Amino acid sequence: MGSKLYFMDFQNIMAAKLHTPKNMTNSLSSAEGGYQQSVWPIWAYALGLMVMPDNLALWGQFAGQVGIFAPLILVAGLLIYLSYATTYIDLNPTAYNTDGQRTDGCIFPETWLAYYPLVIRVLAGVFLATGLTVSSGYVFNEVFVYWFPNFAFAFILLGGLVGLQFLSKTYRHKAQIVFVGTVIAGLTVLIIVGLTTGLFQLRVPAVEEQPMAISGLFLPLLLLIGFDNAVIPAGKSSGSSTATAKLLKSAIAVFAGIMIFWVITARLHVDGLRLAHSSIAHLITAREIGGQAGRVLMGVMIIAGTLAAVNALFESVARLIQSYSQRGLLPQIRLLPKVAMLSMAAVAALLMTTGLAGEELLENLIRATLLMWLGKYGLITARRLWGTPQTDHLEQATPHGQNRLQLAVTALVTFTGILVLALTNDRPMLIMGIIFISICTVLIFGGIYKMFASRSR
Amino acid sequence: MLKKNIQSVLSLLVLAGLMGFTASSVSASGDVGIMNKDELKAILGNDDVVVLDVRTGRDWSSSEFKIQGAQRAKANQIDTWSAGLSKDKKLVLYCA
Repeated sequence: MGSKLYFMDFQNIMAAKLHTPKNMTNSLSSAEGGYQQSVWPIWAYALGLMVMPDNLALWGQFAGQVGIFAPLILVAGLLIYLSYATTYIDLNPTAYNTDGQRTDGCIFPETWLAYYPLVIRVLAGVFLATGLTVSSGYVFNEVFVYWFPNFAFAFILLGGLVGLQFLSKTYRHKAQIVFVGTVIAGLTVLIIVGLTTGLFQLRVPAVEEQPMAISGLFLPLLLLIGFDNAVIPAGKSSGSSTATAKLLKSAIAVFAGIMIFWVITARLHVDGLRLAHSSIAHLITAREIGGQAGRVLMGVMIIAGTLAAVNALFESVARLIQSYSQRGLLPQIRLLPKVAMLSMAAVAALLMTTGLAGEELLENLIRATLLMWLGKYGLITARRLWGTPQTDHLEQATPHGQNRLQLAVTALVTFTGILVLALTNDRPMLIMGIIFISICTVLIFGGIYKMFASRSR
Repeated sequence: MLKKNIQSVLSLLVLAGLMGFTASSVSASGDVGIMNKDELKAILGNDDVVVLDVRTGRDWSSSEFKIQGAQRAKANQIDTWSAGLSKDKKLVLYCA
């Protein structure tokens, strides 16, 4: 936990006129301008989306839907995600920009899908900011202060998050650590209390006579999305890429481990049928475990989770835009990341004002965006499956030992999961339509880029 | 001068339109009463009262509080749930 990693200052490296990954590998040991970075922000951003309140509710539904198989299915989901993280690092063993989002750019370089990572993050940032802040407004009103207007609190949260983006990186990182830490600490407390009281009262989860929902099999794939929001440091070669891979994988594994205990605790205290069909499974569970105190704690966790998720997305989009500008995929305008973040917040505020949060459409937009994010992991895996060390600019075969069978299984499970989660939604055609329109948007941007890139040669 | 006159006329027309819309809205809603929470609490549980929760999206899913005995009634499925309702009963719809 106390290990330090070195970030390379991208400006100094560009000043040394190093352009190719191979040159970068040879010269990083003597490059100047590096600075130390704690590993806690890496964890905090990797977990940012995972701790959002929508996921806390879905975990409860998952526990209710799959019953006693929950831990097993969760472990399977964890293994898939460990594969994603490994592939993610394999495809970019020597990231050499400060924000690490170059990894996404390296995966779809100069192709029709070049803008795919950016588009899905922008959509996620807008829709989740809209939905999560509104939900937090309701929670604040119903748990803490009964008279405070819901939307007023939602706008205050959104405004606070925008203000946070104008503070220095140090404060943003510390804030993210606090947000994520609050949720993790709250979960830990509830789990300890819940397991202790559950075991003392000799509670045993009831086995209901209901068929397991097939969507439950693939829910963990949705619930662990977001590790690629982590700030990935530049490294000297495969040595520090191994350290980075370990950090990412440990973040995912620790969180999945906590959620295994959470689903067990939830089932000890709440009936499976009630969990499976409740939109506030997390609040119900917290209430059953700790009464009013549990409810208040979960209320705090919901607000902290909202801040963690939206802050991670804002930060992630800003860093990705910076990376795209450096690669020539976007104009090199210094304020472009901030303008993009402000635009996202403005659109989210507008959507709140128009009442989108009160429409089922928002849930479909969020689900479609997350499925596309999952699709990115599938594409990464497929890319790794069919790529070669030469095409992927790797100096050697992957040091992390994933064979083609593992990659094939991961890709198959991913795309099957996307299909199942889309088709089992209330409005599958709408989900498919949103995905189709978004991918068309990505392809149009990619086509425009390729057109201008080929003309400039 | 002409421009000012045109602006005045347009403003008057818009104002008249708004007043007319408001009047029609009031007259249209005159058939539907408004009930406060104390009035509802007094009749909650009566056999001739049906409480319908017409909240949608996050208005419903994020809220911990649901009125006891209320039926969920989605606005886009009004044909489905309205068919099963008795016209003799008092229908109370509540939203966010």
